[in-house]
Amino acid sequence: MQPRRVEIDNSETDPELLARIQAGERAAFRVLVDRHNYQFYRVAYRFMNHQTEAEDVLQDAFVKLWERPNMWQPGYNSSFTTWFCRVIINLCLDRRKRRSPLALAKTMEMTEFMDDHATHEEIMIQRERETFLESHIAALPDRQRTALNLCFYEGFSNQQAAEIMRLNVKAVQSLLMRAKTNLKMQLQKTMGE
Amino acid sequence: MKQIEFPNNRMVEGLLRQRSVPPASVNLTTRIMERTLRVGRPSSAINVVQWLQELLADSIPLRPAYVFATVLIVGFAIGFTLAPALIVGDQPSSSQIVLADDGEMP
Repeated sequence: MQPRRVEIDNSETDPELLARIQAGERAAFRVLVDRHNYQFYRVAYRFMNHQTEAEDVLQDAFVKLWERPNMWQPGYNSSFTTWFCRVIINLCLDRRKRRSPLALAKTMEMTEFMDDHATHEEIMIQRERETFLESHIAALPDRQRTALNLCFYEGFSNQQAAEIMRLNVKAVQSLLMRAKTNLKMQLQKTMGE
Repeated sequence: MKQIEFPNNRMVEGLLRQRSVPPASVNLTTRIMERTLRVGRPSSAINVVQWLQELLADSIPLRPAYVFATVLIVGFAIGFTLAPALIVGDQPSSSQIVLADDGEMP
């Protein structure tokens, strides 16, 4: 007997897909995963600084959603993306708490973004800067790092970031400002030594 | 060897912008789908523990001070409401007995 094929229109909205997922339609779940997995992977990567760990977090989050699709309801104040982002961030923070600072430093992966014409010296300097930056971002308080990652990198508006973090917009703006100031001071301190 | 520049606002912003993310594994979606196949779905029968977890999943725990204050206020309210009803009844209360004993003999 042939398995029943369920037609999923890729233009369906997230709430429509989630309604189908609640009814157990795996095809709808695949569409949802495909649609959002890179965006959420980036969010997880910014927190974990490690590809495998970020992918693990993403898998855990999606498995949770599959197991309990009722966790998000259309009547909620936040959109699916905002809500799921909060799920991912909470999972990341839980994992980070379980890791020792030493393990955290070891798992940091430095990515290469220099162009092909960069000299060896330039690459070295750039890597050194990256190492500084990653270690200082990792050392920021959780809320400052979250605000920075959401607004600066993931393009969430301050309003959306506030929803994700369950804060008001002014608090998010203040966290962003403090994160940047802290980073600048830490970099100045380290480079001045 | 070049010296590392001292960071100013512009440089920090520039550094932040250069921070990149390596691409995710190409088979990430497939791996997620395979894992969901393995775990399946819990039965739809009502599970009290799960129901409670879902109920509390999005709730923010109340601060103990607020809980204490609320219990105190509700306690006072209930206490003052019920007190007259307890005193006035068929059975004489202890306070009535004491007052009766202290009174003059007829």
